[in-house]
Amino acid sequence: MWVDTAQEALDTALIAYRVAEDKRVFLPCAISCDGAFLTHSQSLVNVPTQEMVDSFLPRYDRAEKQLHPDNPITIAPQANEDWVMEIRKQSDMAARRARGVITEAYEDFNAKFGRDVEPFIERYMMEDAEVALVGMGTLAMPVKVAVRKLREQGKKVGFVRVRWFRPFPTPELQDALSRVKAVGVIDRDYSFGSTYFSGVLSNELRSALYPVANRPKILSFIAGLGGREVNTDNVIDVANRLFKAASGGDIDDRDTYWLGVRE
Amino acid sequence: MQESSIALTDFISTQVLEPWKGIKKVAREELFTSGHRTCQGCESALVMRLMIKAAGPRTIVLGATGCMYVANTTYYSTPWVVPWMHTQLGSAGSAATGTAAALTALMRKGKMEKEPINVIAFCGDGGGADMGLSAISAALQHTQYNLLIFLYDNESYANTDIQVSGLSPYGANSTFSPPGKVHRIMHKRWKKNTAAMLAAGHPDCKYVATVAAGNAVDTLNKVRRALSIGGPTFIHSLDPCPKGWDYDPKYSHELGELAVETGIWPLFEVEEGKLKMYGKSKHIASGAIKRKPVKEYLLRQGRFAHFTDEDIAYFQGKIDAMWENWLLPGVIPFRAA
Repeated sequence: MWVDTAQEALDTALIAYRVAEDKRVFLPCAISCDGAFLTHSQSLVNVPTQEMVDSFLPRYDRAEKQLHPDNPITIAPQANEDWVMEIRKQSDMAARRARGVITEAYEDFNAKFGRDVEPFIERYMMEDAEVALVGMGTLAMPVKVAVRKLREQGKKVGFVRVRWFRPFPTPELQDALSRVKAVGVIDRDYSFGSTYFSGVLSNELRSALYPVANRPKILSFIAGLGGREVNTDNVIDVANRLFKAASGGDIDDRDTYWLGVRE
Repeated sequence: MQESSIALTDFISTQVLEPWKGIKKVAREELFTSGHRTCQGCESALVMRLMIKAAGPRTIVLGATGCMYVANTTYYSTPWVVPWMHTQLGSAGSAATGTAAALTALMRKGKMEKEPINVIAFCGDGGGADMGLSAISAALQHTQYNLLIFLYDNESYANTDIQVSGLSPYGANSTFSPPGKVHRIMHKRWKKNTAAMLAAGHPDCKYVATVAAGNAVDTLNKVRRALSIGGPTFIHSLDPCPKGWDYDPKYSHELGELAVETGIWPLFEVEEGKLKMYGKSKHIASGAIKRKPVKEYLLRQGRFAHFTDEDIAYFQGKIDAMWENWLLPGVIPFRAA
């Protein structure tokens, strides 16, 4: 779960607890806030009242898992390897159910907090986009600025921000990206030795888009590692390469491009 | 509720667990029952049974990784009749403090009925005296919480196939210290003096004791004393282990007895700053009985089968020094210069 703003970090904390504590899911949930860009910068945040939060996120009830002499249970026994498949299957079923629970949580959150947030991804200027940028977290800031600049020049570019990395928003991304000609994934991570030596998001996205009928060209980029700034010029550079790829230009989509590396 | 009465005047008070005078007075209720798969002759399993019998049903037990986790609580079965939770290898101290603190907080906030609930965290010699020593030390400083750390010491990482721990005796054969032709003695570190170290190092801790399950009633009553006295407490039990020590499983009690009689395992308790030797150790300390030669103990076990007379003499010398040269014989090793 990646967040873009301080407000989203707060909102998502509420949503994450609700999803993780839901008996249908009961899986750990991690929220990733980009260090420094998000965690060490100031911004205004709308802090909800306790009542609002309580109505959305009821107090956690340990119920049958309470450690108390009146409830003599054994917690966390040793499960050996012969149980791994059954336990993994349970995790799988929980992860599958999580999609519905997340959707439900966002619907309730939107209704109670007066928001209009799409659960798994954010679509920015995607309606008529011909090429799309994809990223996570605070990458959204320079990308959105660049998208607006390019739109002023009449270039039809959009941006998709992945909120939930697990469960991976496969249907949403298939829906959002099957109508564009080229997709540029900017990973703020690097998975060494992976397919085309790219980042985790582009790998996941490639496999998510594989069965799509009009599969776009997918270019992968690595940028902003260690908190290095990703600026609008970097993003415009990416967009230009996407337009070139979209129009059948000579760009190798089996390689990964690094942005802003000191030579 | 056995024969213990509970003082409900103050929720952070302890249960009042009077000592049992003789084996016939001991509660018959078993709180550690079938459902485990410990080895034949496992002293530690018996120690668990005694520990929880002494504590009674209003107890929460936390178990650090080790034999008594893996062999007792295997997925889909459990011998524990009381609530039990696993905690990480080195975190018996932290888990005990956290649980006691949580109970206190929940009771203070009115979210749980006020009642003195025993909190016991057990750990093995590896989990307690090696990895978890700092967490136990921290737990013994938190005098506002009532808890017992119970160390069952089978003198090796027995669960993972007998690797040397900080409490393995000098020279013992283990997976990590197999005797060979070039080096007969592979494990040269002397066993840590854990219980005395913790007693000496935590003067506000009201109760520290060593036990051996061969003295069942004493073991039960030390646990009851530790849980009644209040604050964090510590008990160290020496548990012969047929698998790790290599002897016929029927001799577990006998070897525990021999460890006491040879002076290798002194039985003592430190209650509110006062040291008291008990059992045969008391008579050894007073000189009323003579220590048996350590040879009688060592040569009963396969793990010392490679010992030569020279090794036995070295071991005997260390034990002699423990009783003859130490400031407090069997307990405190140093003396004023």
